[in-house]
Amino acid sequence: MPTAITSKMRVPVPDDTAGREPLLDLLLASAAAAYCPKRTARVRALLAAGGTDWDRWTALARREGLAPLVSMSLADTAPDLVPTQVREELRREWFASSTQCLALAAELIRALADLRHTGIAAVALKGPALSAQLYGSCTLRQYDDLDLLVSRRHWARAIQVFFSAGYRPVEHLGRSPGHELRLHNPDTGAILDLHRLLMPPWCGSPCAIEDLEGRTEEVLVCETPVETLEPSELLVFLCVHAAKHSWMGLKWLVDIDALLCRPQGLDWDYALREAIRRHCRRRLLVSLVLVREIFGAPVPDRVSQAAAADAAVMALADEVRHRLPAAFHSVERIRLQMSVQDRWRDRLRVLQELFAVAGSVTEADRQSLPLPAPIYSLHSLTRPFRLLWRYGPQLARQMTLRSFPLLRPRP
Amino acid sequence: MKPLARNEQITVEQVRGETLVYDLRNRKAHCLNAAVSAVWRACDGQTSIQGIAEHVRRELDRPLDEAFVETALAELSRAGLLETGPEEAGRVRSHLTRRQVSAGAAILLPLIATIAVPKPAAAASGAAPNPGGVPL
Repeated sequence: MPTAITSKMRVPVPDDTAGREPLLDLLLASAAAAYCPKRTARVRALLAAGGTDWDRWTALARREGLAPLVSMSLADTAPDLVPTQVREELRREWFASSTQCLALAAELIRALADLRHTGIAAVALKGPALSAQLYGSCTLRQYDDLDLLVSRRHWARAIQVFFSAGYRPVEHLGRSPGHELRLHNPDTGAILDLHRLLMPPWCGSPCAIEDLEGRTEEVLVCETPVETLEPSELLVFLCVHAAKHSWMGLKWLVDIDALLCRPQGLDWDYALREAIRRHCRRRLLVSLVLVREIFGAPVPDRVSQAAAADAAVMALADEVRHRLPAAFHSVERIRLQMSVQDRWRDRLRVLQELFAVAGSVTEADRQSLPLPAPIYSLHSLTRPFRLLWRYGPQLARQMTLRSFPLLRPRP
Repeated sequence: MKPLARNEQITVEQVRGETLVYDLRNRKAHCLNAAVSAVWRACDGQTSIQGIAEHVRRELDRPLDEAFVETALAELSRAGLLETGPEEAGRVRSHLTRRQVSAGAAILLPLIATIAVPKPAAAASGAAPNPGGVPL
């Protein structure tokens, strides 16, 4: 039996906020105070220092998908230090966003009931379930679609269930992803991604719902129990997911920090073992180093030591941390995705996926050069030139200035 | 009058003392403040207005009177959150106006904020994100 190592085991983390942009610092501290009351003092200290450009700050909160969380956090922790107008604006945003969340939560509850009625087990990923699990309400995190994981065995039947409920596949021109199907309900406007694998195949070894036996838990979404990933499984999932998005979007890191701050201990042995088994150890460690250094998240010593022993992990974490919250451009993102893979085989899989997508006509081709339906096929001729025009200069710059130093194999 | 809260075709979420209610029938979301939330939760179809006022006073530890409860019921009825017949709903609506809310309860205004939920736009592409989310 693996020993559950609690999140109380931690290494001292220096205050690494020196030099970080004050607006970003305030945003991250405000978000963290929503789920970790110990961090309230820092928010109040930052606010008391004054000089906050509230327009820029709210724009940043909005862009990073953190407006609902910081709205609640500031109302609770420092209402006297935030201008009334800003608090009201944030509250309006929270309410507007929460209406969308409630609509999606209602759709999730209905979808799960439909599946249950036909004997299909499903696990809710991200969206309302994650928000409820980490922040205590499905309205405190922004999302615009639903994700459900069902068994590969029940895949076809689940699609039938959703077709009966009025869902239709979202039309697209490119190659269809094999691990998920995007559905749209024209009546409610809801978008639902039906997964048969936890992550895309290029994100490591496949993990299906059958592999999650005993690794799910119930959370209350709008007072209704919903099955979702339990914390240790969720940790691996969130870290890999954040890496999949090249850590663009602070909300992914906030989610990981919120998970680590939960009072219940995590089964770190399980998380580390699964990360190795699924070949996503590097992504797990980079994400954990990031939340430890950005938020002071409670990461166990031996995890920090494992990360410190891997030069590539530390270099990647350093690169990402110094870029936040700015986004990586497209070619950098590809390089990053290559670098975070544990094995060369997985890097080749990323390339294979990119080439497969690059070789398929997409909506972007249709939009850049609208052609009549009978001659759609000509897009396959214009596509290479469009991609070269769009990404060629970035690629050339990357190859000239840097020679992919982060592609070192893991020691 | 013994009001009954609606519980069909709605989704309810409690957030920091407030109650968010999503009405699946008309795609509207309502945010009930703490006092109206307490009134709505006490509407079990068996408790009178006096009983509800007493319950809410105890729960919130505020000097809320029956006039406030009646105003809250009028707003709840207007929002379609009570299981009342047309006659009763009409009576509730015309019974009192906000002007009659006591001074003690006035600090709790607005009672209910309502917003229509826009349909999210369908994603332009059904393709899964590429590695790194690079738009190709």
